[in-house]
Amino acid sequence: MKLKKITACVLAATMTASLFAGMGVQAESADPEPFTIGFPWDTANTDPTWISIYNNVKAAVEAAGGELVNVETDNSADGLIDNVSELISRDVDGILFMPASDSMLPTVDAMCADAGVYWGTIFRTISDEDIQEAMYSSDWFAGGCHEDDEACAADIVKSMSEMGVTDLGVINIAKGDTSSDLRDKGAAEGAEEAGVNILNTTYDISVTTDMTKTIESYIAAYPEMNGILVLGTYCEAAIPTIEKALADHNKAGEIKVGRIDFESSLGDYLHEGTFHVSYGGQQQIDPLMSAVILVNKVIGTPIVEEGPTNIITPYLELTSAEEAADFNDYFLGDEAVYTADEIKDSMIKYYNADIDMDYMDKLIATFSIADVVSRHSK
Amino acid sequence: MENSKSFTAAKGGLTKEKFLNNFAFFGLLLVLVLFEILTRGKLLGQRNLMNIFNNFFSIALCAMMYSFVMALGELDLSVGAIVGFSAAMAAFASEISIYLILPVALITGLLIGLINGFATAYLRVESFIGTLAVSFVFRGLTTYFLNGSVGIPIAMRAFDKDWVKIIALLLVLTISYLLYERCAFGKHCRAVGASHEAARQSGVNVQKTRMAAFALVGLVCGLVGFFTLVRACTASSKTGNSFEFDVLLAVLFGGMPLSGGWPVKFRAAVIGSIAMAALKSGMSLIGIDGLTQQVVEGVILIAVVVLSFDRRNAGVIK
Amino acid sequence: MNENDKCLFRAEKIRKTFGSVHALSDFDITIQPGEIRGLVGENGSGKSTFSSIIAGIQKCDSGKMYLEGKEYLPTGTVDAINHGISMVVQEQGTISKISVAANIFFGKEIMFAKHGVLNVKKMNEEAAKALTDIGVDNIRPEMMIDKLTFEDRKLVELARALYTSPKIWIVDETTTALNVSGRELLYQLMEKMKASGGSILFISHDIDEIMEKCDSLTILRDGFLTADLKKEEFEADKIRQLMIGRELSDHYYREDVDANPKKEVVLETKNVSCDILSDVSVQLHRGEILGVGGLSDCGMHTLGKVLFGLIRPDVGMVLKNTREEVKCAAWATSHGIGYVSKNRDQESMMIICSIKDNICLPSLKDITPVGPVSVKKQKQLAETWAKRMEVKADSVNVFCNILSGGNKQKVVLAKWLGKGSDILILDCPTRGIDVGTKAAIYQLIEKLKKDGKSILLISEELPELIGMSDRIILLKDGRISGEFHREEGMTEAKLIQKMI
Repeated sequence: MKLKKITACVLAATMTASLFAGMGVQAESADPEPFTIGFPWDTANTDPTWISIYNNVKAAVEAAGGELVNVETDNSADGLIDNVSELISRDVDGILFMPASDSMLPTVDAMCADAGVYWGTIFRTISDEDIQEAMYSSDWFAGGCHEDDEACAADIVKSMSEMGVTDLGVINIAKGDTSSDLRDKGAAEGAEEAGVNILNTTYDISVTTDMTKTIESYIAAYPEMNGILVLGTYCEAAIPTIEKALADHNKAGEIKVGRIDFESSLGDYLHEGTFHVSYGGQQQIDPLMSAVILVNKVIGTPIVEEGPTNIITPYLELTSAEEAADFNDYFLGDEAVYTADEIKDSMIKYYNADIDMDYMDKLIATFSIADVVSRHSK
Repeated sequence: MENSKSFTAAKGGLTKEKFLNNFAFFGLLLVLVLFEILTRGKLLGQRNLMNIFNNFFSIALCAMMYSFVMALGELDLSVGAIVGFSAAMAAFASEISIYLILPVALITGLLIGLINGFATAYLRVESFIGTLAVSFVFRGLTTYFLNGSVGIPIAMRAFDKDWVKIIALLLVLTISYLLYERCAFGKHCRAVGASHEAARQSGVNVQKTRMAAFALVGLVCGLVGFFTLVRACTASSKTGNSFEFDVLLAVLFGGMPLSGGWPVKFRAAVIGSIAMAALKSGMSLIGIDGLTQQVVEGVILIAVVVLSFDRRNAGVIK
Repeated sequence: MNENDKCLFRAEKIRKTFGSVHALSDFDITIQPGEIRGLVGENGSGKSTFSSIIAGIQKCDSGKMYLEGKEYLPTGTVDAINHGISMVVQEQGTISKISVAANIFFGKEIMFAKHGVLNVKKMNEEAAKALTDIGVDNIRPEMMIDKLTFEDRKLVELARALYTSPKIWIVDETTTALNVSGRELLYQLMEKMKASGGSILFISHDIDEIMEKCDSLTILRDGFLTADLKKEEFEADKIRQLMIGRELSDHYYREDVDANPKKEVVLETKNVSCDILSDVSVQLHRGEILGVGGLSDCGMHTLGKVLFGLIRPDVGMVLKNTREEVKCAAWATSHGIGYVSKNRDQESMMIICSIKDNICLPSLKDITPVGPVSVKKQKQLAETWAKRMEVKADSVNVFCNILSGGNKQKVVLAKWLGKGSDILILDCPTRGIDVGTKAAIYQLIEKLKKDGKSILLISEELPELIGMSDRIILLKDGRISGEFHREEGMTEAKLIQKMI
């Protein structure tokens, strides 16, 4: 009993102490008011791409003098809602996240509106029309980047067809996922146009063992298969896993492999001739640009005055080992694809009043692997 | 409480017994003090308390009913899958009528709980294998039916209010406390956990007791599914992901021994849930990355299992 | 010092307390090489506490022990075994779900491991040798321990204890768990060990056995040493008196011969066949003590379980009051039937549980049929019956794992008396229990009969059956082989004839 009393006393003392804590005085700054951006991201995932996404967001926020607050997430709808709630309570000025569905957005918007916090998205567009309309009219939605997933998928199918692929096994993220659905649609269109037969599509692969099993069952079920296309996946080391499975069945090189979204190992396989084409590279520019959009909104200098700022980021094509090596060095390294000075001078409206939608579109249009290499090798 | 009193009165190994009986309490205190200092007072700040409550809410709902399963000396690794599946079914039901959301979530949870109970009680499958299998089945079905995610009308957010949650929590707390500590059912669960043969020979219907315990967990998971659904207005294949480990870690952290029986105390569910919620919030506040969080949780898991292991139950092994 | 050099083991002023209970107070004992030293005392007198201290299972609060003149302070059971002290216990000491060989070499598997891989074949061979060494040939080492009977498991324990060729062998009330041939084997092993210069600490309740087998005797009462006797000083009454501390009559069985049976049948089996039983029909009448006897594997224990609904018969049925079928144990409990198992610690009670919860378990629904059960009434029920049964403990909140065997059995009986069961099925209720508690149980059974309750007494001890029963049914290989009535006069000779 005595123990409990002591325990209770210590507890009470702690609570009291906490009232006085956290009353620190914040330093003044000459630049924009200091601000914080919350970013729920899965930092337990050690995939280089996932790390680079985090680095690019961080670079964009810090270039404008802000502070990035990370909370751990599983990127599920309810997980993200909890994350948003937590970030709001931590007094952030803006929240950037990768939506798991359209239907979660009204909840996020309502929470952010209550708290007076801006929010933006990465990688996703809003495809549900009602929700899109509601969000676009919200004062708190800053906007975000997304890719033309549909066109990208159609193009990669066509370029695989040019390599001689006629029967294609497909792997995609998950049904209901916005990007995933658009890529499916695009792939179907591309396949029809180029006369490619899509044999099967598998979704929701999150571990390498499942990836191996999927590829093996494709090989077993479809002897005619001469191409594998990964439209997207959350599985780590997807390409090495696929290449291993193909090599085990003596199909490496024989079956053409394509992938949307780059990953770090592509160069080796391009070099060996067992991997053939990848569209991507938006995984660094998209989060960076999305963060820039949100940061501008938070500072009070939105790129577009009315409504959200939506930028479509281009995808890059990767077909040679040299390009892949450059990609690994400059996209997946520790540095962001734009340096802090570049971001400050050419993307933050507070410092550069010329910035508007046209300015950004032009800037984006110059973005390529060679462009990043030349800017960084200076 | 009375039991622990008479035990702590024992002269031999006084401090150790006392420590072991209350280590959950010390653990909670340690977590609170440590993170309160590390976060410079933010952990127990007014705003963060709401976050801790949100984290605590679903873990505690489930953990309280989980006491019955722990008392039986069993595990239920399917709670996450039940939450996910009942949320999915409820989301589909909302397309017919929004009034169906809650009943469908509860009934789905209850039914899966009954499957768990049936497998454990009548088919005599080891609970951790049986519920793991059930978990795979319903995770698979959730993914299959949902095809990604399904939304429900935004108006349902009205249920994602603190007062609704507090009422639900108090309701479940009262019911489960009375059932566990005061009613025959709770005592039967612990008796079965202590020695199922002795319980059977004392007139306890062992199979029905097991069945009912799993059904209760299923039911409350349905409720958790409902609240998860109205919070995000989305049911996705990730809903309830790894929830089973949060709950298991909470009850173990609270000091429930895996061996079941009378040492399983109800208060452990509550203390453990608070500790888990505070721990998660604290780690996030001081910006520990995801990998380290997993390591910390793993280490805690091992530590609490070792500490709560009841050597008296292992008396036969010499 | 001279004496120290001569003796094999010496303990000085050993003290041990559990809560406010003094299990041992300044206890001294000396064991000479090559002797069988008896240790007797009532249940709760501290015998088992002492043996567990020597065997390294628990530590004493104060006092010193010397082995071969050197101070001996075991850090655990393994350490004790390494010092040459091994023990066989009263209750089940085997580990279920593994093989016989694995049990014999539990904790010593490393002996058969090569590069981390266990050589099962070698272990089985060695186990077979260990078993043959002690003269057991019907147990195969690769068998699962659970397939063995309780008696055979004890033999496996003997093999395990003796494999290490101990200097001191503690035999803690093992004989009650063994059948006649097992006992003979145990006696032989003790003699053999004695001949080879080892010593035995023999703990038993059976005074006749002690007098016959021991060379010297230490008597304990309530944790105090009351006497050290040499063989020539042995005298049954004297020993009993030293143990109990009071005069105890030899006649603790019933003395009346009038069975006074009523015609009303309260519980019966009709042509039941299952397990070993075949076509057994038994009727228990109101107010009757029906004894069931036979050899240990004749099916009498199965019969008890069938009557309580624990085992459903393949053929035939079990009826209460000639019309209601006994469906399961839960049904039986709620219809006034109580059952005390032969395996007390495994089946009759929850060990890691308070006396109160053990007593109240079957009665919870009676105290309050629906909803929260009154805490006060539970406490009342438990305290009333624990007091009436004279359970020795600080309070009813004490966990049962620190109670002695006799006290545990009293708790089990209190459970059913508290429930108010009219029919009691008692399977070896006095197994492994001291004389004092035994007498108390016999008195209780007699009183219950007077109160009009019906009792089915299953026992392996013929004197007990003859002493207590109105009627005895003997089983042989699962069939009824004889029936005796109290009025007709029953003798062991008559009974044995029908048993074998």
